[in-house]
Amino acid sequence: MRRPSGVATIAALVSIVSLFAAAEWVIAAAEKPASGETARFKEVFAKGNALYEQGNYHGAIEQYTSLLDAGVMDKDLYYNLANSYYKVDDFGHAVLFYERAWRLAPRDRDVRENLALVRSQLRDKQFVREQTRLARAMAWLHNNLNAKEMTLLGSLCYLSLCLLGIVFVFRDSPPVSAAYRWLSFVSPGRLAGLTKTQDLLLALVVVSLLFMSTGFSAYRKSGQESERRVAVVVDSEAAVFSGPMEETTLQFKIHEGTLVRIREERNAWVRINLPGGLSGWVLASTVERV
Amino acid sequence: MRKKIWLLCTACVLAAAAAWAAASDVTVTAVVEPGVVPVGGEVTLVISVQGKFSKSSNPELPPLENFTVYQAGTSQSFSFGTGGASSSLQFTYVLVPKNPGIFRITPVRFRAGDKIYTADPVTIEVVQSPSQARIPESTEKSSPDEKGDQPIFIRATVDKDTVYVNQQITWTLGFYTDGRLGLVRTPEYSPPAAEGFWAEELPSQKSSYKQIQGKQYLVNEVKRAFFASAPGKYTIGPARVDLMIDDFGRRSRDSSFDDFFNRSFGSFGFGKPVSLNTQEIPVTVLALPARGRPANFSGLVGGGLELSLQTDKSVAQVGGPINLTLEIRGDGNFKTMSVPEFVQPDGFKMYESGTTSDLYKKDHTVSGRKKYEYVLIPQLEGEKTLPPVTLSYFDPAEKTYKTIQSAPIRLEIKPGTAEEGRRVVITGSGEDIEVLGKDINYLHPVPAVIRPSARSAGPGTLYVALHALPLLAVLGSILIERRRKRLRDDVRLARASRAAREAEKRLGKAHRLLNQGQPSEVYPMVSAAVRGYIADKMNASVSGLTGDDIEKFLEGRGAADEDLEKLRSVLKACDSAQYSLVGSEGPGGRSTRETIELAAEAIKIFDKRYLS
Repeated sequence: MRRPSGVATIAALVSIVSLFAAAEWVIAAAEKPASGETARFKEVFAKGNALYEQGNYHGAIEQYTSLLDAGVMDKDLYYNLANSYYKVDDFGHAVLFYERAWRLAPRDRDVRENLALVRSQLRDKQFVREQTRLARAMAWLHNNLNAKEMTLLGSLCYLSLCLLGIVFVFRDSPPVSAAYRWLSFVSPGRLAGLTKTQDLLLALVVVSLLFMSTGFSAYRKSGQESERRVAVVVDSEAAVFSGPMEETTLQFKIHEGTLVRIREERNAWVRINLPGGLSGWVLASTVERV
Repeated sequence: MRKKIWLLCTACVLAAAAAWAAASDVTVTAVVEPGVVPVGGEVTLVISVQGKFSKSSNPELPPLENFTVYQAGTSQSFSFGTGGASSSLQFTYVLVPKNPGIFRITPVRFRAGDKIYTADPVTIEVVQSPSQARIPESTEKSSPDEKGDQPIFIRATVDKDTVYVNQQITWTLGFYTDGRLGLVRTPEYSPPAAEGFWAEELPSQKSSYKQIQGKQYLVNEVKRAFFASAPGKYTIGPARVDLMIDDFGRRSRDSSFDDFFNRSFGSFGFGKPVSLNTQEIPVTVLALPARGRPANFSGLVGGGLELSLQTDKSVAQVGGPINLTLEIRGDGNFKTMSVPEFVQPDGFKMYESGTTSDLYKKDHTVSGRKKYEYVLIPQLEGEKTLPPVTLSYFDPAEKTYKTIQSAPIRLEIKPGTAEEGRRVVITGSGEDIEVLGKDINYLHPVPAVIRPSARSAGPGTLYVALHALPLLAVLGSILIERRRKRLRDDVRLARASRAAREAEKRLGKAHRLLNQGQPSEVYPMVSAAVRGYIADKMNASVSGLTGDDIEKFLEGRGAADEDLEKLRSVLKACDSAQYSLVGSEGPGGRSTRETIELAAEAIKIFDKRYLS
C-alpha cells in the first residue's frame, strides 16, 4: 500500500476541476433547444429587427416580447427590446431591459452606453447613485462579470482555497517543502520575511476573502426573481406613500426609469428604498424587478 | 359649485367601478350633467380616464355642430380601487346647445400609448328655452320704482347689455334704505338665475350715500361678474332680498307704512317678513367675429394680456433638468382658456410638471394668472434656442383679435457626465467635431444561438454538489496528516502498524526468490518475515527473540493452540532448512511454497485475531 502524497492530492483536485467543467458542459448541452425551435426564435427576432428598421417600434416590441414569453433570456433580445422602448419614449421599460441586458453582458459597450444615455435623460436625477472611485474599483469585478462568469470565478477561488488548505496541512512533507522552496520567491509574505507557515496562513486569509467576495457576488447575481431586490419604476409616475394604503401620507413622487431597492412586499404594495435614505410604499404594479 | 363637486365625485366613482369591472388597463367614462337642458343653457361634460398609462393626449370628441364647446379644465390625480391604484385624468368641457333635440355624443376617444379607448355614448336632451322661473306672487313684491317715496328698495343694473361671448358683464344689486325702517336681522340675498352664463361673485363694496329726489339713501351694493358662454339673447333673472322689518311702534307713527306692508304680508307680530325682487335684465351676447380669427385662438376674451416664458437657468448640462414656466396673466375668464400649444423643442425631452391658476377680482374686473410648468431634459450639447410661444385672444374693447408672443430663450447646453467619454476631438486640427445628433447605439443582429432558459441564472444542483469534493479532500488530508504525526511520535505504534505490511513484503520477496531458483534464500526470508512481524508487534529486537519468547507473547494475547501450531510449524521448517539441504520439498513433507503460504496465513490470522 502506497502512502498518500501531495502529488496524489493535487491530482485529485485536478480531477475535481475537470468534473466541474464536465458538469457545466452537460448542463449546457441539456439546455440546448431543438434546432426547429432555434430557427423559429431567430425568425421572430429577425422580424422584430425588420420592424424596428421600418420605424414600427411598437411592432418590434410585440415580436421581442413574444420571445420573452417563450422563455428566451438573451442579452441581445433585452438590448433590442430596450432600444424599441426608448424609441417610443417609454424610458421606464427601456431602463428595465437595458439593466437586464447589462446583467447578462456587463462588458457590452452598446448596453453600457445606451443605459448611460437613458439615465441622463431621466427626470429623477437625484436618485441615481453616484459611486466613489474606491467603490467603483472594488465593484469592478462585480460590474464586469455576469452571473455565470462570477460563479466560475467563485468556484475557482474555492478550489484554490481547498488546494491551499491541503498544501498547508502537508506543509512539512518533502514534496510540499521542495515546491515551496521553488515557488516562494513570488510570495510577498516570503519576501517580507515571514516563515513558511505564516506565509501560507496569509495566503489562506487572502484567498478566503477572495472566495467570500466572489461567492457573495455570484449569489447576488444569480438570485431567484423573488429574491431580487433591484427594481425599476415603469409607470410614468409613482406615488410614494408612508404606508401600504392610500389613506396614508403621500410623501413624494418618483418617475419612470428610477432604480429602487425593494425591502418588503405586502399585498399589492412594496416598500422601497432610494439613495439618500428615502423610503416608502408604492404600488407593486408601478415597479418591475430587474 | 356643489353641483360640479357632485358631478366630479360621480365621475370618479363611475370610472373606478368601470375600471374594476372591466379589469382592463384603461377605462374611459363620459358623464354629462344635466341630462336635459334648454337651448342656451350649460351642460358639463366630464371625461374621466382611469388606469395605467404613461403617455396620453387630450380626448378626441366627435363633431358637435349643435353645441358650442369650451374646455373648462383638466385635472390629474391618483385614484385607488380594489384592483389596485392607477392614474386618473379628468377633462371637463362646457357644452352650450344651439338647437333643441336629443343628441347622442359618441364616440369619445382617448389615446393611451398605441391604443385607443372609447367611452360609452351619452345622451343630452335639449329643450326650448323656458321662461324664467319666478318666485310665487303670494310671497313677492316687485321692487318699487326709485322715484316713489319708499323707505327701502333694491335695484339691479349691468354695466353693459351687449357683450361678446366670454366678455365680462358686471351686474350690480343696490340695496337702498332711507333709515326710516329698522331691520330685525341682516337681509338675505339670493343671487339671480342666469342660465348660459359663468358667474363669479365679486368682492363686497363699502356702503355709500346717494341723493335720490332730495332724499338721502344708504346704499349697499353686491356685484357679480357674468360671462356668456354662447351667443344669443339672454336674461339675467331677478335677484331677491328677504328682509325682516322691525314693526314695533310703526303703526302708531306712520300709517302709510302699515298700508304698504299689510297689503301683501299682513302682520306677524314682532317683525314683518318682506321679499324684494329686482327686475330681469335682458342681455345680448354677440358671437366672436369669424373674420380675422387666428388658427391658434385660445378662446380667451380679455384685455391687457401678457405672456412670459422663463427657465430657471440659462446654462445646463446634457441630462440636467431645466424648469420651464409659461405664464399668462391679464383680464378675462381664464377658466375657458385652452392650453397654449407648446411643442417639445428639438434636442429636449419634455415633461409636464403641473398647472396652477389664480383668479383676481380687483376693481370689479375678473383677471387671472395661469402657469404651466414643464421640465426639459437636454439631450444634445450646444447652443439651443427655445422657440417663442404665441397666444391669440379677443380684445372686446378694440373688437379685434390679438396675438402675443413670448421672447425666445437661448440656452447653453454643456456635455453631461455620460457624454464626456463619447465626445470626439481631433487632435491637431484644433476643432471639435460638431455633434449634429445623438441617438442610442443601434440594434444588435440576430444572435447565432437563441435558447429558452428553463432554469434560473444560478448554478445547477449538480454543480453545487460537486463543491463538497474539495472539502472532503481537505478533511481527508487533515486525517492523514494527523495519523502520520502519531506514527512519527509513537515508535511502538509505528512498528505495530507497519508489521503486517513489512511481513507481506518479505513473503513476497520469498516468493520471487523461489521463482528465481534461489531456494536457499527463501527460508531465511520467511523466518525474517515471521520473526520481524512478531518483533514489531512486541516492539522488541529480532536478534534476541527466541521461540519461547514468541510463544509466551502470543499465549498472553490468547492465541489458540491450533494457530500457535501453524506458527511453530513455520518457524521449525525455517530453522531446519537453514541447517540442512533443502530441495523443492521442505521439512515435514511440506513444499517451500506451501511454507510461504502457511506463514502468510499465520500472520494474517494473528494480525486479525490477536494482534490488531
